Amino acid sequence: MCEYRLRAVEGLAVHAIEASVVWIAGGKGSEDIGVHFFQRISKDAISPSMLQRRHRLSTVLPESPLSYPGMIVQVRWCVRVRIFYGNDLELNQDHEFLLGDVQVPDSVTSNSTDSEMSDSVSLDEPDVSESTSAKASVDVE
Amino acid sequence: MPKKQKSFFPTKRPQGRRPAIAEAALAGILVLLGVILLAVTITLTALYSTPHQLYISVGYLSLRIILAVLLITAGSYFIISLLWKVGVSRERREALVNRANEIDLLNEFRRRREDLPTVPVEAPLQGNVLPYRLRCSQRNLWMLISSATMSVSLVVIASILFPTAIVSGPSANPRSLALVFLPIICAAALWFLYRFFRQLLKLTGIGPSSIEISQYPLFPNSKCTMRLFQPGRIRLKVLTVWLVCQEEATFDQGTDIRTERRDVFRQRLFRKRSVDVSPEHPFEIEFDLEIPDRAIHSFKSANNRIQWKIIVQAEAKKWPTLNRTFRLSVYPRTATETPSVVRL
Repeated sequence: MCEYRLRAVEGLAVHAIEASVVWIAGGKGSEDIGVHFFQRISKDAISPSMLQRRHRLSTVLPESPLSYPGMIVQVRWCVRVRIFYGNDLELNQDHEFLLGDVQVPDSVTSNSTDSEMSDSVSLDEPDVSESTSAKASVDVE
Repeated sequence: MPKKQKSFFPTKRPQGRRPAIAEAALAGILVLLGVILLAVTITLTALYSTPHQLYISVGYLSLRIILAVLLITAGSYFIISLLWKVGVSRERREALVNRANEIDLLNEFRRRREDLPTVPVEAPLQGNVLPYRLRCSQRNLWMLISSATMSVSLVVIASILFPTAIVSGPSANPRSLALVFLPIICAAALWFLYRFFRQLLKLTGIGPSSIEISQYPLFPNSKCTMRLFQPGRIRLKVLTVWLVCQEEATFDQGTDIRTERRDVFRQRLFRKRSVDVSPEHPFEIEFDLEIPDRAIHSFKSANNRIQWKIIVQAEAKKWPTLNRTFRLSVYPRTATETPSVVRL
């Protein structure tokens, strides 16, 4: 279960809000994304009072894929909230969480590759990506 | 007393490397001779015949074509029977008749795939001693087929170019072109023939490995028994079995698509030096396998993959090292077994 709310919205009308629970596989390779849960709130259901209150989403997480901090492949889970404004503007925020208790096995070999070891991806900090300059933010708890 | 198999070769023959080389070489030469004879016959017929008359009699032409086809068929038969005889025990040949249980296994694993869409299903086969038998990667066989196809194709082209190069006709252009390309084609044909025989000797001398397992699929912290069956007709310097977890990432680099693989876990399960194997006495051994605790499960998406596998590595003196790969499915532990599933 997860709750989120919009802290402040200025000057622009919200056209839609999407909340999803996704897994993202990436690292060295191209990113793959899997959507486990998706919820969309359309313009008709949006009101000033609705924007101010907390919103809850709840889903049963699957058995796989588990979060994994690998060397060239990492799997991470996050709750993603995306707000759509007029004029094709949008704001999105991810809040990562760990599913499972997987570790990279102890016995690591320097075998068979011809490339340098890549940096591990930090899973602790939420990945905030703002694609617009709209003054709004999303708290995900 | 076990019944002796019929053979075109003498029943008493020495064990070891020489019979494998002789049989494989003879089979390959038969196929090549047949291909060359067929290609040369067709080329000469096309060059020297007129619309009203063949350059040789119909009977002689038919005889040459039939002989070529017989040589190709005989050589192909010897190669296939050599691979079959070395790689498959008598018990397994009989067991292969009954494949109904394998279909049931496949259906069971297909149902599991619906519950775990990102976990690749490597459905096993029915085992002979232990319940399951892992599927072997077909990479070595495809290398043999591809090198055979390339070498036969190039030999055919060279067989066509050679009479074209030596025939004197009204126009010198085809002849000069043939003279230019013939050495290149011959060199390429010799290279692919070398690769083909090398791969054939690898597969017939060191027979196909078989891995059976007592439990499938596997889970983190699970233990099971594995059984290795290694046929062949060779003395192996070292025979090793590895458990490997490999990450695989595919990405764009400019206009190319590249795939990088990295082993993140490698554990030696079994190793033995000086192993003698023969079709009558294949090498068999059982050993334990344990997936590490808190290990990642098998995973597959469009561009990223985490794969568990068993690698059987066979080294013999004056032979190329042969690696055979068997993919494993490691499933995640169920939610009921994992105490704290989510941490925010």
